[in-house]
Amino acid sequence: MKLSNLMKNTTQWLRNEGENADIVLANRIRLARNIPHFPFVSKMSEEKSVQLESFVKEKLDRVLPMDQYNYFILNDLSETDLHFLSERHLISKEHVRGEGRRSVTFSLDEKFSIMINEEDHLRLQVIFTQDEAQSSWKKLEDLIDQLEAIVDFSFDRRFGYLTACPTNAGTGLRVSTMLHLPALQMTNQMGKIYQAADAVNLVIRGFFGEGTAGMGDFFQVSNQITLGKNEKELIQTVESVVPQILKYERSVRNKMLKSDRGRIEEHCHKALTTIKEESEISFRESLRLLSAIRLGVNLELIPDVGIKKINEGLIQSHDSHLKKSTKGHLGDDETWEMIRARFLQNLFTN
Amino acid sequence: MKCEKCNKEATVFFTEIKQDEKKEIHLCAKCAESYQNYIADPHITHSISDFLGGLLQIFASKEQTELKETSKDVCSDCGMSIHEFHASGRLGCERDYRVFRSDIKDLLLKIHGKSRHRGKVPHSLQKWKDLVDLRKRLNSVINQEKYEEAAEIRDKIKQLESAHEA
Ligand SMILES: [Zn+2]
Ligand SMILES: [Zn+2]
Repeated sequence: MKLSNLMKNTTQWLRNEGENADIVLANRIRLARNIPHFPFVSKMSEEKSVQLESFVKEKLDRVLPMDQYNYFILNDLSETDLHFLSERHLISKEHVRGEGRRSVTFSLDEKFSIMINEEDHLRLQVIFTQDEAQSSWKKLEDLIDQLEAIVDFSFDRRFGYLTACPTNAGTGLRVSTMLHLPALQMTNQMGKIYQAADAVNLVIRGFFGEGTAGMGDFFQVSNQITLGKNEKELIQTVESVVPQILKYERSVRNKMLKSDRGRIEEHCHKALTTIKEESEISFRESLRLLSAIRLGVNLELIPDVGIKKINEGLIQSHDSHLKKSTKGHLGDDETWEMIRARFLQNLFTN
Repeated sequence: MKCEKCNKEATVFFTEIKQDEKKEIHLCAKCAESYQNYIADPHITHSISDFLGGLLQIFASKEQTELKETSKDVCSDCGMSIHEFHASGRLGCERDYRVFRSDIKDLLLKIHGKSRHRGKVPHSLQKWKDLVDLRKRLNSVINQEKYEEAAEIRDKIKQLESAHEA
């Protein structure tokens, strides 16, 4: 399996065209687990990390249908390939930057991914669309149960599953929903959402970009606590709050449409014109433009563009996706910003 | 719908979940905004690691004296000390949860509001967990004076306990 084969496909989970696709990009559940008698990753020697990686991989081989999975040792991959996987959310940025032997095993449809030696020995995640919520947790639970039948995980009767960072202890479960909230952002109302989320032990972060601020109008809502509630309750907390945010975003969208239709129309169409005319576009700018077009499509101001296409653009306009699409070659006087502008032009003229 | 704080028309709706009880909160834009100062600094709420770092700092300054006394404790497996943990926010091995048990219990309480796990357990502990859950339920039905139900639960506990020994 070559990484470049992945290029041909849109990430499956971005194909969400269901009921809430106007706002919800995807959902994710992640479980953290560690193996007894091995130090946590930050205190692990190179040698131990190699031992742990092959120990866990051998267990995965026994549980997973490996013909439906890809397996990569991160230490063997180029910088571009590492970021490429991270841009597709198959591995985390922490996993890219980590030390020691690290690997990822992910399903061909890119919905399941198992990172070895990230912050914890094992990070299992499933990414899914809205209508797969129930079945996805069930599948992830099945997988962890099957693994636990053949390997012990670090566990304490009081504290639950033990993790390198106490913020993940207990269930080790983090559930996130990725949301596109341009109207709330435009009207400066995200502050209220942050505040309300905090009150119910949820946390909101930017979905794209490094650090805390994030970029553009894309956010992820996740549970802040992992201990003291069971897995279903934690998932339920996020599930019960997200519809409130959707309702709020939609009501602001409708209000803007009623009171300021001309301005919104201009905002969305201008983004489309910019993409057609601009010869250099930065990543940050591409997020801004794609967000405006996405809003325009969802408000039916821009016809004949599918949400899927925009979601695809969100992933493929990242640096390493562009680099892989040109096999890393830049022509004379060419910049990645030019490649990105051309990619976006093609996306919207086809 | 009226704002719960000032009785004006409410425009912001949220579901709050506390102690397993769902509660709808209704606020007007202004009251919701009055918290803006608190959340104006995105570092406060956006990032879990920053959040933890902040907690650890509070934790460290509050318990400086206590910290010095326990600072001799070092995990013999991975070499982690309480100071190193406070600085990095990461533990070195599973044993650290025992070595620094009371510090970690306090910290978990601060982070999660609870320090007792309620989720999945390993297969080998499933019976133990069922017993813990049943005893908890037994206490609550006895408090509610539902004696018939209590008798049923006692039977189940007995069954499980005898199966446990087998
Ligand atoms: Zn009010
Ligand atoms: Zn240790």
